[in-house]
Amino acid sequence: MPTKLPAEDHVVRYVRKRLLRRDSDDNVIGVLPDAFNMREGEKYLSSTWLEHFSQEYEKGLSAAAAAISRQLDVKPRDGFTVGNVGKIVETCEKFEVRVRLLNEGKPENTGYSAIRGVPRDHIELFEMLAADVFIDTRVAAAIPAPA
Amino acid sequence: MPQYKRPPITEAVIEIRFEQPFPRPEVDKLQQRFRSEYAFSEDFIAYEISVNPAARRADFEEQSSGYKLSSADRADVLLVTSAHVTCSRLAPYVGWDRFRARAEDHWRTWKRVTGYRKISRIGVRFINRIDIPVAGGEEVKISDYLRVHPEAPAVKRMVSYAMQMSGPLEEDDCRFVINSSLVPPPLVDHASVILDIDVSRAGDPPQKDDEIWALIDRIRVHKNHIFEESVTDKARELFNA
Amino acid sequence: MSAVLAVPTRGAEFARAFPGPVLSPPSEGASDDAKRIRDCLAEIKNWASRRLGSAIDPRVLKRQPASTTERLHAALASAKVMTSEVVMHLDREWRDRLFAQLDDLLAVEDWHEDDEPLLDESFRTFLRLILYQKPKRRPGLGLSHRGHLIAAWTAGADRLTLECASDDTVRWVLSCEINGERERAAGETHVARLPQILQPYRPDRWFADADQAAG
Repeated sequence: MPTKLPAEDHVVRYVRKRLLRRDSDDNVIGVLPDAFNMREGEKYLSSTWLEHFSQEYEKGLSAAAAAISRQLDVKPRDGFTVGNVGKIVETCEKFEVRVRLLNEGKPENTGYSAIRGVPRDHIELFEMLAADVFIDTRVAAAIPAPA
Repeated sequence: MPQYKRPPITEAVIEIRFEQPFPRPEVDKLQQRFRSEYAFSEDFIAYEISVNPAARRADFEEQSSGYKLSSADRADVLLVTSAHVTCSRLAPYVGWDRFRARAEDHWRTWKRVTGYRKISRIGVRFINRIDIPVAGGEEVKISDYLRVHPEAPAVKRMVSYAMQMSGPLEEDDCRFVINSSLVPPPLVDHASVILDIDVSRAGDPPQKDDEIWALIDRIRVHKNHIFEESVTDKARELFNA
Repeated sequence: MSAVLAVPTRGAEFARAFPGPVLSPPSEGASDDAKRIRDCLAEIKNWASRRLGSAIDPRVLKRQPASTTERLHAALASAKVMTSEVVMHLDREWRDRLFAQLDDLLAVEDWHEDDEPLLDESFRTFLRLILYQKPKRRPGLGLSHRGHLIAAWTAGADRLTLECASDDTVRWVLSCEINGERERAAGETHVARLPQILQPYRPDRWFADADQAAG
């Protein structure tokens, strides 16, 4: 049974290298708006519930990144970005978009969560999510493996 | 020839053609010899298509085949084929001395691998693109920038043209080919015109290295003369902007 | 005196005109002269297409699906050759840096098979954008899953993101502070309209820098 994520918790979203935001010296400084646009055939945005693995932020992030890496082919220069659940919902509501963040754990990633209700090609919403909500972005190689 | 801050050269070519085509194994050997000097090697085929409507057939005739070797930035190109060796430099143009030195160096390497082969044609080609600002609704005429242009008193407005002129040069038993056409402009609010100048010698070209390169240097002078005679001072202002 | 040029240079008219045939086929004729003209036009097309600098798509020659490496190399080659066509309008340093960014963006070791490499038409729009807008500061580069180049400028909390689609179309989104208030806007326009659209947001906050972007 999918579980609704608490507003005070966080989700980790995997972002491919090509969608990382860079400054003019190519340092990674965030994610591009397109990181929240669904590809053809996708019906929701994938993420992983950080506090599912640990209430300690850094430990939860390491474990979430490892779990995502068990599901997907994560390259060292790809990235992970973290957003607060409550802020995601609140930001979407500013654009009259109602989203639900539900834990729908999979065997290889028990923290797997779907962000349902995000529209396609809503670039203003995606920009706000990228600028104001998902503000902690790390390159995969910089995240230590879980202890 | 004056030095321009922004020469409009998009490609410079030095080509040497041979009377008899090379067998494929020799072309492969040449590719292997030059491979380490270039980042990329791709197959290259030059072909002509002729259509025979009566027979309801299109024929595909291979003119030459070989390899296109390119530098990492794709600006330096060497074609090693069964019919010719061609050194090409795309923009940014590095100046004649550097370009010629690379071509001559490759020529000497070529000869060490293949030995002497009878040369049938030596040519130098420079393709220029003149980007003409046309902002603000102002009227622009090709003749403001080029002395080589089509002219028809009944024609008031033009959206395309393509023309070729060829003929003998008085000097060095050479022949010129000038191609010119409007092309899609890469810049917003500009019109672009190609001025493509090829000067070659096909009748009894020199076969000895020092004579070959002396001719290439003279061909370059002839090419420069044609270029300078073909552009206006208004065009020169663009090359120095 | 020659005729006045009436070539479209921007916008939808430009996109309709180019790439299109350089030469216009005349009405069909039956004479020997008509045949000679037709043959001449065909020859002109032949020489126009045989520029040595034009990269040959390896997929065409091999007649089989290209590998990931081949697709990426072809996309990179095409972008670099397109840049060479306008490099006389760019600073050398800016070109070198752009190439380094493209090499990194399309690096084989970081690539995912199901991603679309950089599309030629998107890169063409990007070049036209850069040469028209003339930003002094270089953007960070990304790539959408459709193969569109994304150029991003960030100055503190102020952000400008431009997605370069085909035919001079640019999708833009920005977030910036104006008179102490945060403003956000998004839209889709043509390259030639972008300066007017950005002007109220003081685009120098993103574009002005000591480095030269375009000579």
